[in-house]
Amino acid sequence: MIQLSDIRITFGKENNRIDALKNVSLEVRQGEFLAVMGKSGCGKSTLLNVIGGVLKPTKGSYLFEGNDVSAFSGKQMAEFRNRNIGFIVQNFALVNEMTVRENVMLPLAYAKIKRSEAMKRAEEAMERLGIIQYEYKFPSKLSGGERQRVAIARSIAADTSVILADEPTGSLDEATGRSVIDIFKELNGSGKTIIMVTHDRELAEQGTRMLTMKDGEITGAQAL
Amino acid sequence: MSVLFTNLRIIMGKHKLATFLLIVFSALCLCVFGTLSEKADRAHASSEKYDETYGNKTYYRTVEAINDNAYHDYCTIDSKGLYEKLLSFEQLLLNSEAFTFIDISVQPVDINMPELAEQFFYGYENGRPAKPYRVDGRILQPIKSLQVSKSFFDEYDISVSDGEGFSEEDYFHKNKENIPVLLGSEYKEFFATGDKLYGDYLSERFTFIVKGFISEDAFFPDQSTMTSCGRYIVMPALFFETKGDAAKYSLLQKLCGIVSSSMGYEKTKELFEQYKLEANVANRELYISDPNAFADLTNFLDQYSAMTKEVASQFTVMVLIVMLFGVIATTLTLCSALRKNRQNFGIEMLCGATRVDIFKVALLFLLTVLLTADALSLLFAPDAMLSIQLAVLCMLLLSSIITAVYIKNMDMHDILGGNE
Ligand SMILES: Nc1ncnc2c1ncn2[C@@H]1O[C@H](COP(=O)(O)OP(=O)(O)OP(=O)(O)O)[C@@H](O)[C@H]1O
Ligand SMILES: [Mg+2]
Repeated sequence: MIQLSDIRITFGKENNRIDALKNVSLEVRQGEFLAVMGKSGCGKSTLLNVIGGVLKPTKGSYLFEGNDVSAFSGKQMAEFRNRNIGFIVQNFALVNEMTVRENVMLPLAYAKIKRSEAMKRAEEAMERLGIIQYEYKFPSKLSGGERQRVAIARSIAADTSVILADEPTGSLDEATGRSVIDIFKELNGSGKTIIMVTHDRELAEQGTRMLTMKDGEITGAQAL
Repeated sequence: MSVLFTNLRIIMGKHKLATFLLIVFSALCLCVFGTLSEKADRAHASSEKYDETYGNKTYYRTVEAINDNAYHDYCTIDSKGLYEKLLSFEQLLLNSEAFTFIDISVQPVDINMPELAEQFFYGYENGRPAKPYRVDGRILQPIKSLQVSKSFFDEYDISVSDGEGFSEEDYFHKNKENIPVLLGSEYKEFFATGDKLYGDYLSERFTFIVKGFISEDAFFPDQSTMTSCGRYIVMPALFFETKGDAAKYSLLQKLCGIVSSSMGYEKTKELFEQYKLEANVANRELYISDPNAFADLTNFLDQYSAMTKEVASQFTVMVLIVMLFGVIATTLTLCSALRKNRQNFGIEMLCGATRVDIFKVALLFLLTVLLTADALSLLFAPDAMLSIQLAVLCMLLLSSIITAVYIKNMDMHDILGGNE
């Protein structure tokens, strides 16, 4: 499903060049729950950015279901993110000035899906994650765990096949964090591909495969 | 669609004061722009009008200096029939196809109205306003007046703003007691079309009937300057039917006029002499002045031209600066608002928004601000409607180009790894 070969990402120019990723090759099959671990600054977020179609690789090729994402235009990239990728991040990435409902419907709005259909899907997703009672509240009024569930509901409503999670439990207490992972496991069970960056080995072990990174390179892979 | 408006609402909601101030400032810019560009237009128009009116023509004054003996005879019995000869000479000048002869005399008229505002008094500009005097129990005040031929209006492009101009008949004085007059624009607050003034002209009693008013932008050459017609009573340079004193005086005065010619001095003078010959006044002291003697006026006209052109271009520069201010204020406010909203835009891009979608929000913001300012400014400067619309369009175009560049270069990749 996801095929990265020899990906290089270089930031900065001339003297302060940084290779955030060097020759990263990776294959992810549909239905995997991949956990990525590594020290701070080793390039985990950068890797997710590449897979999510946010960053274009400086070098190398990225095939998603056979399509060459590295050759996409800006508009195609946006469409690609919209259709295929759900982003869950440590700080939730919710628009604070929009209600829970508006946040959940955001990808659907950009997908130009009919409003009635979008509302139905958003409601189903919120129902599924138990946040329907907050639909007209603003994210700032919710707890961290609830906010993270709004972000997950957003990707469920958009029905993306891939969920990219960058330290999704980083801002949550242990119990809430574990419940988020449980949701991931459930989603993974229903066929979604999940790639999750975490510092917590215990949480990482909940996945189907674990990658370790160091200095912009993948240094180890371990099936669980 | 609805995301677009939600985003606009978010940006404006977060920057209510800035948006409000921006609208007020833009409206102000547009008002100033409108007013200035009207002025610039007028300055351009008057510099164009100048070129059209004065172009490459040269003016020559004509002078009468008939010697004392001949003058005395002319004024009394006129044994030589000089009056008729001069009359036919005047006709030759007026009917010439080769040049234009313009009568401009500045003989004051004495009006029975000493309470008139001082700026209309004869001699006011020289610091020696004429004093009123008493005659036959009336108090008469000499006031500034112009006696002009029909060619005066064409040559100096002078129009009548109120009432109507002189008809052909008005130039013929058939023993009537009425003389039609046009008043300078500064008279407007004191008189109206149809009013009557009583007084003396060339020592004869007349009733002056106000036919209308000269438009504000009217100037005529007086000595060496262009003088506004604003404070003058303009009357026709009359043709008298009967050979009376007034007829004789005014005829001599009318012969002191201006020849407008593009033939050059030598040829113009040649023709002038030929007309003298034809009218049988070749031996009389009638002259056409050397252009150098009139250099002052020519110089002045050049200066006037340069001045109007300079004013026009200065106005244009000011207009552009005002517009630029508007554009700068708008783009600064908008770009800073966009920058503050970068986090949200980043999130929306993760959800499938493109930079074009963000630009649409910015454009909607610009449209809202500028169109509101547009509507406001039209309330205050409705006359400048067209130029304001043009300014709005330019401001919109410039601001959106700058904003587009800004959005294109806005970094939005750090949301994923962002450590808020
Ligand atoms: N936009 C950027 N411009 C320049 N350098 C960047 C940029 N984004 C990341 N980097 C650099 O690339 C390297 C990898 O960063 P990345 O965010 O992928 O690390 P990470 O593994 O996610 O770290 P953390 O665990 O702290 O989130 C770091 O050295 C970082 O400084
Ligand atoms: Mg990171």
